[in-house]
Amino acid sequence: MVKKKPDASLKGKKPMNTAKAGKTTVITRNPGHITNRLKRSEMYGKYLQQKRKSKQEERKQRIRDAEALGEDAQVKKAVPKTLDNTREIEPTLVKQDPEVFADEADDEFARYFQSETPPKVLVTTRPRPSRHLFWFIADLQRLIPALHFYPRKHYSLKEICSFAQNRGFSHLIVLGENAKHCNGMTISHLGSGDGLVGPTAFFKVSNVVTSQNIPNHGASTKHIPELNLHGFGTRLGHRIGRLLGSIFPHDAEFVGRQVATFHNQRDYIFVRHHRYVFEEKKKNEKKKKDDEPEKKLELKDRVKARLQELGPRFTLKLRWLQEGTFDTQFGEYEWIHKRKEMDTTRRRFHL
Amino acid sequence: MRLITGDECGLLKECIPELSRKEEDPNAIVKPFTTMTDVRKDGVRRIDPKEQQSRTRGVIDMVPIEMDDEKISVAALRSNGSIEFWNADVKSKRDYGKYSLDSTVQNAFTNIEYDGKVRPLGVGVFEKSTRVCAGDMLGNIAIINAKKGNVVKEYNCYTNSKGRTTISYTPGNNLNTQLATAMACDTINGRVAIGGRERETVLLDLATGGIVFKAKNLPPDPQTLLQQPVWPSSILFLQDSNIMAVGTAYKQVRLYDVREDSRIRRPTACTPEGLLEYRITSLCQVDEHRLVAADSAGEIYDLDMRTMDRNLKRKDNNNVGRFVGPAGSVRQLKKHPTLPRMAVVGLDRMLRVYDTKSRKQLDCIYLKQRLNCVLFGSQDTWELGEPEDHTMDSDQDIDLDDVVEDYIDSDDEEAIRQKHLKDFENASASEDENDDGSKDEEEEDSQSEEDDSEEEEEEEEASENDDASESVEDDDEDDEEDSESEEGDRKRREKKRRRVT
Repeated sequence: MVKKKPDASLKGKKPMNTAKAGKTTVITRNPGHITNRLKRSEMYGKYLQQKRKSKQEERKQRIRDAEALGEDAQVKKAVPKTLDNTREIEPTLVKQDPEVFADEADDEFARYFQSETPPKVLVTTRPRPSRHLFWFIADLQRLIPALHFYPRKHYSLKEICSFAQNRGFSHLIVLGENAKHCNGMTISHLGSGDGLVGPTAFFKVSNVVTSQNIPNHGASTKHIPELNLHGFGTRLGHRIGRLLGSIFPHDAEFVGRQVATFHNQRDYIFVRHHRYVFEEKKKNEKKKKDDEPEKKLELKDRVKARLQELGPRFTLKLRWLQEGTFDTQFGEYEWIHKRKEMDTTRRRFHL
Repeated sequence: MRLITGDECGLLKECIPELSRKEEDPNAIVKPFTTMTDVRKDGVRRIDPKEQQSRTRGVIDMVPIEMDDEKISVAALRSNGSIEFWNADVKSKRDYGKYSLDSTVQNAFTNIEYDGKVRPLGVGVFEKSTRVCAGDMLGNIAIINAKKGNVVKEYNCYTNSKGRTTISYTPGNNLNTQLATAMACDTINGRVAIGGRERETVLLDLATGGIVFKAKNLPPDPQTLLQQPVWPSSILFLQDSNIMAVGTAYKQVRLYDVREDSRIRRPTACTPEGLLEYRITSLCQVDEHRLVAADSAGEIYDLDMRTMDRNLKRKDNNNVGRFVGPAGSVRQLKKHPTLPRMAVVGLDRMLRVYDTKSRKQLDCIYLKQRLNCVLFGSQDTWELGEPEDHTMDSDQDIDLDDVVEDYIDSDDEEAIRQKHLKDFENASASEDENDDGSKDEEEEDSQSEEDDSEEEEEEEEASENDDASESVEDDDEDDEEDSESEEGDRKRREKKRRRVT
């Protein structure tokens, strides 16, 4: 057998494995597992290129399909994947469960939701609060009816709990602060006399905007606002939602047209205070075509609600939920956020 | 495995983790244990589907009266002071048990009306499963006849020592609801341990009602001369029943020697200061020397009783194992009677089953209410229908015979090789002589010739072997085998040669 001499142009270069020459390896997996930095960056570049290429090809294919079908082409709108869409399935999500309803009919907050007892809320701060916190409290007084402020002085929280219970308060809110920004809120349910003494929740507060700083804000009146609790899905979410809802009396005065919203999204609770107005759309005077009859718009198209923001705007994030009144030493935690165990994926939300 | 759980709304549920496990796909990427996608809901069933849910009927504690492979008998203590005795027939290992309510004791602690604040503490069984004892927060202990279902005796552990003390309960006053916050029953010796806030654990003898043992606190802090505060929040009698483990709300676990004649009242071992972070809510003995303590924030610690009292600064004490999982306070830990499995139940509404040796979470079942207590059934096997065969199908090669090469002893290898060479020469020589025809006869002849020669050689070999190794007992057998193998080899080689030529 005579060995074939390699091409003169290939002189000095390594012999190629001709079997592999034509094929390029398709990188399907994100090459984060390669420990060599140079190689990893190279493979990552190739990975991104391939991804982009396959996307473009898919797009071209879609256009070709649409052209082939012509007028029959059903425009399949691609739904983008969001964190909310691809949220991990939580088994504790409440779905029309009679057990859960029976539990909630019996729990600490049932009395407030059935308007048997009116709530009476005590708000206080950390010792030696700053001016900014007082502005926030003033805003809160416009948001929450039946809110009473007492200065903290030097009392410990357990003492304050017992004082409040003696004076018939049902809830206690304690605002924490750092560097003139409110950063924490503890809401404790003190019980309604005979009833169960309820849980204490601690929230991290962020993005506090007082009403003065909201553009085009309105002035709130003393009417009891309606309550909007949105996005509380799991059992824990239900519990927190009910805790927040029990602060408000439940016989709303619709004359005032005010609404307090607690919107939970991705474990962040957005608190807003709005005044709403329903407006009807005026009929179109121009007709597009003489043949076309005037369309009768549906109610939802005809009537729209306009909102004017009142009051404070802030976000809450739950840090822990504890049984009984404030007692971090000896109390039992129903839920406590453990970062290393619970924050393993971006797609897991607890509320 | 069978598990019975009781929750704070009064529902008793039977859970079978095998039924609610996700069917494992052998190619699936193993997901982290905290995700629970696709959990089938078949694994949970209510023991009494018609009972009404209400917090006044919340189950506080459960204790097994009889537990074997066919029958389970359970006593459940409820928040309103009533004790229910349930019976179940659990013969079938594939289905839920059939439960029936035997009897109820309406108010085990007479004279007290139970509102939300005073509540019963726990139940225990003693005297060879005939008596049940129940304790409440004011220190009352009621003894109930398990079969008849009536209250036999009542004691109070705080009023017995001196005849003059009385305990009165005024509703609304929170202070006297913490007189007793933990209870445990010693099944073998018939004793009950009760402890409360600022009241050390006290052991009562259930037959007489007298105090047998009163634990003593650690000596006061030498620098400040302050008394060590005491608040037992969980008590457990260890398996050999001479040691009692007490978990305190001041983040400590203490071991006491509670033998009949023990004079040492101080704790024999305590965990050091900074080891545990929250109030201890439950204890469980998992091994001869391992104790598992769970606290009110869902941390579960695996303590070794021999080394737990070592100072934290020692390097080898940093290895406190943890069972990772619960997000909320753990109300009860229970170990399976025979298997290395531990069930954890708590306020985060999940029932978790762990492997005690590897500390891995095996199952996590969502039970919709906050759970107070759990019990293991004594079955250790479960039949899940037809087991799925995930093994690779290697049955294609069953019909082929395995090719087994004959064994050649290393001592004889050299001799055999030479013999083969000789045979080869002989065979080639014989072939040259006779092309076709009676090869068989020749073979036989040649074999007979070779046999003779073999025998001679074998004798030589045998003698050689004898000289070489006197202890070789299997000489004869080896020789026979060798001869057979040689013949076999020869035949094969001749076959090959025939094919070639």
